[in-house]
Amino acid sequence: MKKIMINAMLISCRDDVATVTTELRQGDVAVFQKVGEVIHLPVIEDVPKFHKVAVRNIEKQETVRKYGEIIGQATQNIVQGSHVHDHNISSPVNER
Amino acid sequence: MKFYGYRRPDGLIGIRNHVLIMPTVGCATETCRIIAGLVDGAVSLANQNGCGEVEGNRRLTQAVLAGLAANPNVYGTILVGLGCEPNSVEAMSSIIQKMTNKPLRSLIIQEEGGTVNTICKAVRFAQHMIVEASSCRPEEVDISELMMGVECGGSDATSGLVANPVMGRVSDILVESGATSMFSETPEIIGAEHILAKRCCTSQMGQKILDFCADLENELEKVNESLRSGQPSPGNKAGGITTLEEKSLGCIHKGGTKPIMEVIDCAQRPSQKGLVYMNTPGYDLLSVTAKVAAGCQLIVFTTGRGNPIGNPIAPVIKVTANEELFVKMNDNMDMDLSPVLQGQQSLEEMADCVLEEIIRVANGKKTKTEIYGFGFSETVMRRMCDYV
Repeated sequence: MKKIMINAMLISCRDDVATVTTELRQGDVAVFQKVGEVIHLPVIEDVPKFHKVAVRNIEKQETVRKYGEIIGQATQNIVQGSHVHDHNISSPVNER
Repeated sequence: MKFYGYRRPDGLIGIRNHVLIMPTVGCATETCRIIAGLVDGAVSLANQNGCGEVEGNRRLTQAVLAGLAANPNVYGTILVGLGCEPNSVEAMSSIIQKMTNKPLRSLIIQEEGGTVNTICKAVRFAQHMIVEASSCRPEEVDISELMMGVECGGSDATSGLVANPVMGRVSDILVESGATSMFSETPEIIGAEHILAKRCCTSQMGQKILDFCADLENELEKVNESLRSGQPSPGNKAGGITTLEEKSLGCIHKGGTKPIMEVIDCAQRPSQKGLVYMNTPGYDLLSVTAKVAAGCQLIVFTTGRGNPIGNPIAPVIKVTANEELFVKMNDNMDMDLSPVLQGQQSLEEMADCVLEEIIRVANGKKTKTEIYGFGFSETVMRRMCDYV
């Protein structure tokens, strides 16, 4: 297959976050595949290895998907390219 | 897709052709180990139960032992008991015979006059059975005859990111081909149980999954333990996992995306093909034992930190997407899935590679657990309460 250097993974095309496979610094570009297409996403802050980065702008209280499923809810507005972790998302409410 | 397997008189297809030397009680376990060590083609298992247990525990022991004897990878079984245990050789024989008509013989240490006499006689029984077993020829059968168990243990970030999604894809392809894929580990679905429940074919089955979780949480509450509080752990969080939902989804992803056709109790044999969920603890030794007792001919085990366990009856294929681990613990690892992390292969391409490896192993290729005998006899069973 095509040898592309990637440094992030989007598990499902429905996902709002990609997981970086190496530490990325502010200004680096996350490179991942989405349904065969290569996406280049500038990260706007440092993202540690295996942490998540927002692939779109997410508004406060919107749900956040990974694995194609809801993993959380935004506790603040999240700009595309931001580090997504417990400072800006929490467990979804009313999911059970 | 096809593979070569041994057709048993009960109609099931085995991918190995073992003679099983089975202790009905812990007191016979060492004797069985010695017998199996003297006969090429024989395996034994480490049963520590069968005595000193309440009736509920005895039933759990019997279900697992009978399931293991009935697993199609077993040509025939030689039961060895002590003689005074509640789980008698007679009781075990009759339970096994209700499940399968495969060859079965039995010996009782107290009646044979001790360990040495028992070993001598059992070795001759085993030798005779091996002659018969080795005369069997595998035949080409459809992939729908395969029952794969998926297990994850010693996980790291690569497990949820690559290894489990790859196995999810493998599971989907097998299910589409008419085969059975079984996954389990109830403590690890907590947080995502509502998602699994929605994927069940009927709402009753979905409720059963929710009940498994509620029962487990209630039981743990009695000893002041909780699976939700403090989760994800600080280590998980440092590794990038934010919510319990995310952690559990990483785990359940190994079961793929297909509808759940059946929800079964620990070690129960499924009656349906397709995707099956079994209620087991997360303890890998127990969970693998239970899946093999349910009839899985092989297990695929995803790991990130490494794990040496195997099973006496079913080959265990160890896969990891942690390249460093694959090199470091290569004696225990069968497949490196890390090219997906580097973008050299897609998840889908890697799933096809795993599937090809599954067919090769079904056709007789040995896994590391089989070559070295790591994980030769590991057998753990669920308990209701302490020994008595």
